Amino acid sequence: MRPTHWSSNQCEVDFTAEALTTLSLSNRNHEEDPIQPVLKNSNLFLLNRDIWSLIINYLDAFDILRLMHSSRQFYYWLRKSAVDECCFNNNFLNLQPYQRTVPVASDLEWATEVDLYGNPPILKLQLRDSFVWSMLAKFQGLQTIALDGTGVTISSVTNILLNIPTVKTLSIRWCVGVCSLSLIEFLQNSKSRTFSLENLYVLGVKGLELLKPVLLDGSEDDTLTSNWHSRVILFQNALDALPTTHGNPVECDISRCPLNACKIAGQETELADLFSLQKVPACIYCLREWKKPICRYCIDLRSCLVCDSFVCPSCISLDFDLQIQAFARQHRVISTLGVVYPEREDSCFHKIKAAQWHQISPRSLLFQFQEQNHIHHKKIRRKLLAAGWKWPQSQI
Amino acid sequence: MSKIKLISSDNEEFVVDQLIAERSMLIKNMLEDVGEINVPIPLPNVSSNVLRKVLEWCEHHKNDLYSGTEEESDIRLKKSTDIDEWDRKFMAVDQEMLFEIVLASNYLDIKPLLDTGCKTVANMIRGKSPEDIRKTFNIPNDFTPEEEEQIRKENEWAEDR
Repeated sequence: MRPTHWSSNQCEVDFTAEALTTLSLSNRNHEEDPIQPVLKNSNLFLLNRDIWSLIINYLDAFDILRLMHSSRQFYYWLRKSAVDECCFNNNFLNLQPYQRTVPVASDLEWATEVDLYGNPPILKLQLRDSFVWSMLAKFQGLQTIALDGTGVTISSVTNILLNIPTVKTLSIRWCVGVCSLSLIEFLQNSKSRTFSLENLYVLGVKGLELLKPVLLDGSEDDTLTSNWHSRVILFQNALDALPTTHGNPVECDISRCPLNACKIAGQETELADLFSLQKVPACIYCLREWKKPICRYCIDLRSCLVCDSFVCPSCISLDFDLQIQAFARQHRVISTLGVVYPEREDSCFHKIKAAQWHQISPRSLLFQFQEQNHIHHKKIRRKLLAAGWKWPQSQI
Repeated sequence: MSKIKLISSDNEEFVVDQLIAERSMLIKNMLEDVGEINVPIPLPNVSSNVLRKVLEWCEHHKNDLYSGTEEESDIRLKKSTDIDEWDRKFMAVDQEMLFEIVLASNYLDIKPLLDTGCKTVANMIRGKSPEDIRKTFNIPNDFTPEEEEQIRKENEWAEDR
């Protein structure tokens, strides 16, 4: 065996030097040798890393592994590539070709590919827990690890989080072998440790799918839907409780409206991804920003539809409030008209009446929002009628 | 149609249509830099045999429309390893010529031809053992027996396939 201090870079340099020396000697000593062109072109070809970076795009992990075994040159180069293959960064323009084999696809792209082609073609299900285990030593020091679409299970997730203290972003989206309940259990049982994790992307793991689960015949089931909703909330709560070195909650790529008003009104958000949820504005009463995303419906219940002033759930809770039913009925009307005629006015009734926000209670402020919305609604309706608009026949 | 004169590394002259020659981004950029098309363009890294093959490919694909968007090209790269029938037959050459075509397409910056060549090489590797790969590409086995054993153990996880 070579000395322990022998580095892969030194091996690469030595091999390249040896290859070039061989080529040089071949040119000098066998100028008329008929095999010289083949050797020359073969070596030039084999040593051209730009070309091989393109070639390995078309190979799966096992073929790359076998190529790695064919010579030292490929071994030391591809060993580095194997590590880089499981990393990504946000600056896509600087990615090397082989790093694109594990891209971070958009949710819509994944969903479209699933619908059209079955499993997305870039799924790497053959990369399983044993692969992650063998790579743990090489992963040391990495801050970002993306295993999207691979065949890993919760075992790999725990191994990475427990054994790689530097990881800040872990992405296991569309890893269908990861069970969300096991993930939740791991998070709940890890309160005695501190993690440097800042982002955990999990959309698409089992139980945290993009779309609600359905029965085999394609029909919906209330129990499945309810469990799906519950898992998202449980996951969010467990993730929020995870101790971190940076002191902030870990960000994730899924969420669901935490309020109950939309559920009472039958307007609950079905999609467990951030596209369907909105980041809310700062509360006009306490001036703080509400951290959790809330669905559009619940935002509108707490907002003036004219100027978008918002009262956060901390200042007033509408959950299980008897008033919610009246607001809900009115909201459906306003939503319909708002889509048809999204007019905004500069002046707001509630601002005229309230000299200082804190002179009135949040509840009173909210009532003023609704009153303003009602007045706004009446104006919109009059303008629409004057312009010839008629109420849809099905809603009369 | 304007004609371009290309000179191979062994000083053979090729007179081709500008449209065909500009499949090569290297040539296209050189023409733009020079500003005139009457100047012969030397290609010291490409022999006449290889240049003839490359121009044959360019002639066949002269009317193809390729997206200049890198992102779209990458999407195609990710999604497809198929080679159309004509290209597959075009690439059915001896190994020396195949290597030279790939090297030349890289030098001349003809990305579609380079991609086709890389796919062809990838297909030559797919499913082969390390020893078969060595035979295919004339790669010497420069591992010591101890190193081979170490590598085998390191990658034991893949032996089930």
